[in-house]
Amino acid sequence: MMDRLGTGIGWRPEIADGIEALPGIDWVEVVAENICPGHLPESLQRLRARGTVVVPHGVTLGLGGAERPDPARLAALAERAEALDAPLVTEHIAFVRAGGPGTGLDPVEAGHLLPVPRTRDALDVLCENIRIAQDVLPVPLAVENIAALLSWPGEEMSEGEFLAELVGRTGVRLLIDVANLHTNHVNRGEDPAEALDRLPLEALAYVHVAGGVERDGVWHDSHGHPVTEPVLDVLAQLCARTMPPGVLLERDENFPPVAELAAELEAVRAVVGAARV
Amino acid sequence: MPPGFDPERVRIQARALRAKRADIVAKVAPELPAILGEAEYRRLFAAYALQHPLRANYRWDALDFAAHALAHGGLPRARRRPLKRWRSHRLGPSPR
Repeated sequence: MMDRLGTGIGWRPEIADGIEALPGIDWVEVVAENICPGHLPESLQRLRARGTVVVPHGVTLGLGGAERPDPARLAALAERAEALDAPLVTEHIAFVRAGGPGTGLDPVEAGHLLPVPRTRDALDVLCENIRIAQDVLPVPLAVENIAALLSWPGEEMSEGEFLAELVGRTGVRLLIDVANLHTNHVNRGEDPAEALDRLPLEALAYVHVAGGVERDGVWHDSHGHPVTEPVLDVLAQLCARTMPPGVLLERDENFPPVAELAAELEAVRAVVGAARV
Repeated sequence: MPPGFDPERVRIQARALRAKRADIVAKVAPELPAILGEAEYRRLFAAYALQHPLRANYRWDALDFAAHALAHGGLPRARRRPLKRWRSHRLGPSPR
């Protein structure tokens, strides 16, 4: 069983003051690459001083890439975990770059999280990369399911099977993003219940909730729109199976007044609370 | 594109990546949309991004984009001059 985290929100500089003023924030997540361990923003320091847990959330390791994780990036993530005294660090099941040495191609950065093909071969590479990361990181690692706009041809496993196998082989923990399960439902026709049914629930570290928008039948996981009912419904489905140790709201764009974020957090608490009874 | 991918989805993904990249460059260099105007910035950035994959960090991307816009953007003088000034300032001795 994982440590209880409670209700949290993604800390972003644009909403730092608002987050400090929000009641009932047990913890925050910071984008690991956006902070410097020796010069933490004052707002984060104040949150830490009053006991708010801070979890570094990496976005550039690219654990699902064909190449080994970059030692410098891994060391930087480890350093942030220590500087923040974090109980765990999180990253993504994704690739973020390609090409470079050994490929005969120029290196290219995607600047975004892209889906790993759910094949046996890709799973082998991902497991090996996760083991390398686990060896370097001073705290447990949890990895997140991402939102995808496209699918790879020739996939051999469902999302649930892939995640279960990943946990079984590496002992890695899971950060389940219910908005991303919803995204993959709309964009790839994958029923969230399938992934939830197969999830190794004891590996669940925490849950992400975020807003997005549907355009022309495609769900864009924008993190810049309000959280919608279908996403809260996936959260309810998850909570019906297990009580997540933590739930965190992500908002990265188009920041609303803090009262709106407070209302979204309240809606999240209501879903989790309803499942508890 | 390798066979088996849905071309429409790949197009949507590519457009989303370009838009996100333009958003981030506008965050690290808000002067660029300010000088060019938001719509023109988006249009020129999309053209630049099609030919120049992201290779390093976004500050260099902003500088490379500015160079591209100066060379190929067909910008009127009133926009060229402040863009040029911005670029030499950013390339100058201050740490980047």
